Amino acid sequence: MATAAGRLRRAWEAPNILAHIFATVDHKQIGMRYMVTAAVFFAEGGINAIVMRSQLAVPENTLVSPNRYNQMFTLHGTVLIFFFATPMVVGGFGNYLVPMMIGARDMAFPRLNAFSYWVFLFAGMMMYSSFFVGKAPDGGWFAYVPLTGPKYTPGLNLDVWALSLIFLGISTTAAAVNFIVTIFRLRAPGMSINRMPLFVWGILATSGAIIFALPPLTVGAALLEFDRKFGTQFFNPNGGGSVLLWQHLFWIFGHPEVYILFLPAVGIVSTIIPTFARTRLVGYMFLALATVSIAFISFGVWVHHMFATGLNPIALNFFGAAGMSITIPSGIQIFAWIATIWKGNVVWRTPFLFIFGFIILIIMGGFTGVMISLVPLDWQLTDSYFIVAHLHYVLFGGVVFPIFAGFYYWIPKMTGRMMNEKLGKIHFWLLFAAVNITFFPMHIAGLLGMQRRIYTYPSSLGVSDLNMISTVGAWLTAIATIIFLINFVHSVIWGEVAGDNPWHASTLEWATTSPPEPYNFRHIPIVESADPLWDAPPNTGWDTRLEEPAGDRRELYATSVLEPEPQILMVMPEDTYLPLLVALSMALVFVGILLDSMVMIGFGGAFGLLFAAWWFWPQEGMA
Amino acid sequence: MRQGEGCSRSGRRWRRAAALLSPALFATLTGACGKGALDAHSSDAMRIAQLWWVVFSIAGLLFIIIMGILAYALFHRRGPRASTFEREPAKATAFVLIAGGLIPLLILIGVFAYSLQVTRANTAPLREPLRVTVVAHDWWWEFKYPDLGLRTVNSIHIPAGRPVEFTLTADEVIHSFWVAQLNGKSDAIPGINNRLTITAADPGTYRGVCAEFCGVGHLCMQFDLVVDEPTNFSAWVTQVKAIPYQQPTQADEQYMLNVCVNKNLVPVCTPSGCPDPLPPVAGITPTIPQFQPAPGSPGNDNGRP
Ligand code: HEM
Ligand SMILES: [Cu+2]
Repeated sequence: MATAAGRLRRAWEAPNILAHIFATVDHKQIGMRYMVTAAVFFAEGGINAIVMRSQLAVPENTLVSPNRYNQMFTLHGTVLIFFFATPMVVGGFGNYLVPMMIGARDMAFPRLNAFSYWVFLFAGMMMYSSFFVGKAPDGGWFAYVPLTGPKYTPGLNLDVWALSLIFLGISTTAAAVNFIVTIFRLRAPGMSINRMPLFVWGILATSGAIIFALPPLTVGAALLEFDRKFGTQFFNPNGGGSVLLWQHLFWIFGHPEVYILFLPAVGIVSTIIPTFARTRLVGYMFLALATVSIAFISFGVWVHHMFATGLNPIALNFFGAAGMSITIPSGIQIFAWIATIWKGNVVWRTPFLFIFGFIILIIMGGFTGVMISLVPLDWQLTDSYFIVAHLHYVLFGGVVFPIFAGFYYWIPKMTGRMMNEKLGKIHFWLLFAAVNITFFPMHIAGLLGMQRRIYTYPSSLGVSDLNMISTVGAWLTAIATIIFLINFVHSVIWGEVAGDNPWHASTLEWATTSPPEPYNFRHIPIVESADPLWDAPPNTGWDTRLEEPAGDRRELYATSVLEPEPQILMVMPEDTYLPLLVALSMALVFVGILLDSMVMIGFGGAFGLLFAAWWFWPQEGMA
Repeated sequence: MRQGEGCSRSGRRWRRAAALLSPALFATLTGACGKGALDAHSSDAMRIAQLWWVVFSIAGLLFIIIMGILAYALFHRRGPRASTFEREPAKATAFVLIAGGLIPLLILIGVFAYSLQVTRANTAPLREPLRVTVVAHDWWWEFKYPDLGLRTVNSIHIPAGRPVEFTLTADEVIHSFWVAQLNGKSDAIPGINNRLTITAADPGTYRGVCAEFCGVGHLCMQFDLVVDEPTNFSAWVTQVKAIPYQQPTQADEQYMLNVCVNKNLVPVCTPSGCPDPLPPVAGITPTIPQFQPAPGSPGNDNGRP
């Protein structure tokens, strides 16, 4: 096949199966790997949740020991936030979709992208393996000092926590830089900033937030490791250190972090709604602005996690008000979605059902969020089960529901086959009921005085029934998730063939084949509106205007930032094993630090430098 | 005993208001109405409970309205003609900005002002308070009454009607002092003195817990806060003063933890020793001075299986 398409395919395809597995730099491959890996972490965190809920089903239960319970909620929280939700929406959906949505053939730095994935995988393995040797972190997902310092938590448990997160931070930061450059420089001609899909806006805002939010966490975790390994006193009050310093550092990271999860999820929602309301989005500009402004405001509200620490009430109320102000852009988003739905006629397919569930759950979580941003109410509600309820409404409702919507919506693109509608609807209704059955009673348990992070409770507290209901809900959640898995397998094997654009959607990823060719687009599209596929039917308006040189090399245009025009023809890198090798070397270094093994650190460092030098060695003809 | 029988007086009025607004939620909440934050027995907790019911009512009402709008948007079918929002985009934008931006802003300003007031009232200086210093240890509570020359472990009484000012600190890790029926939480942090006030309205026994995760003994830090009639309080003070205070040793701490983790409860002992036929932990004799409630005050049954 000497056609242009054949040459393109040869240039972009992995040369052999081994390279395909270990050396690929294809953003779609990497994106799907992120998704699968994150899904495995979701399952692991979910199993923890089921065990915890079973322990809490009846009062004074002895299914798991206090120590094991503490490890479980810590791992559950840490893994689901850091190793499921963030990598799923940013690494998974972001990687798979962003280049296609902006009409590019790959990310700006494909090798860095592969490197991000491998580091994520190894950091997650490091974190989770600790559970199987009984050394899992047990200080809660925000690891407050001095409890997590060397004196009160000797042993490796918290070193695993701190080092895995520092390691993971490298991956997340690299991914964020990659997205920003990709979105700024690889958009198809004509896709000006006000024509970008809102999911791309979400990833852009999130990437910016990651770059500013992660350093405080990395610094905090590093100082904690210094305290633990070298006897420094940063967080030891008896040695002149500050206990609250940790809380400030953690939450300056931690609050933006929840929006880092949330903004891409919101982007998924804004992308799916117009497709199923069969009309253009209302208030595109407001939604984009809301996304960016939430990312900004989220940096000014961290103290609302510290209302009970005795800071000055004036300061507390300032941060309370700042936190509440997030309600305004969020309210605008919600009503923009409602107005879009109102304007159009809804088609009730499974992806939309999950969006529908999302809207209800996020409004619930938003209301409880306003409640806890009121300082006196928070004094009662913080650290109680009310918070557990709130955080699951926003995390499960606000992030996991859009993720499921995204699966139903884009799996046909990824696999070329539709998911089953009937199973999808059963999945949705069961999950929607289950989430409410699990988490609604927790509000009441919290108001009744049940504090969080306890491995059991006395029957005299009067929360036994509520807890039993929650536990039943948790089991239903598990069943619902299994239905999804069945649906997925069913779809891959027997699913209806999807075609390029089964939903008649408007964004560019639907202009590719399903599944897409390794090079995504044979010709780089020219974009003339925010809904390109609705305004210019594929392969007519934009096919011939910009003929992409279809060479034997991987070629791509870099474009200008605001009103993209082609500027440079870039030659993109081939598949390479180096990202994997560098990531492996770094993993060796981190495990070496964990186990105090100079040999591992030495070997890992030496090989890492060697491979990195190889990677960065100037090559002729490379951009 | 009065506590747990029903809900507090302050709550009732708002509860009725909420009942009118959201019958289903109301039923759920009252069905489980017990000894928590909404069963308030101090002026501080009552102010917060009231704030709760106001905010809850507003939230409930708005939730119903928004669900109504959403349902309409979802289920109405526009005819062959383009919908209003389609024809007049300015109307759609106005709808978004007013319903999503302006109205929430106004409501939030009002709610925020109200909560400021509650914050101020609950942190106001007190006149002639009874001072109690709380030191949280791993994993037990030490209570000191500097004005009365009194120290106890895991056992705390205060007089009804008189403002009490707690100074909270910790000597090892962070804990949080929470008696839900009497006020919100305040953290006990090593190296920091935090302040919490309670002006209890009704005598009774109230459940206190540690609310900040503090390690394996987190759940063990339960205590009873007993609010006495002033005369009973004096009697209690006299009774306790007669018993020499002994600071728990590390062995005692270990003993308490073992009892708690094995039985899920705090050991309740009398001045003459621990009555429970608990399996003695290898070689440790309990010396924790804990006190039975003074005669006439409600019994201490918290944490009993
Ligand atoms: C079936 C679904 C789930 C169930 C039944 C569940 C259950 C629980 C339980 C029992 C706890 C411990 C509460 C405590 O002892 O204080 C917890 C904590 C937590 N969960 Fe979940 N959860 C679920 C899903 C999720 C998801 C999807 C996320 C995040 C995306 C998440 C994030 C968290 C976090 C951050 C914590 C706090 C951990 C900590 O206190 O350090 N959960 N969950
Ligand atoms: Cu504690």
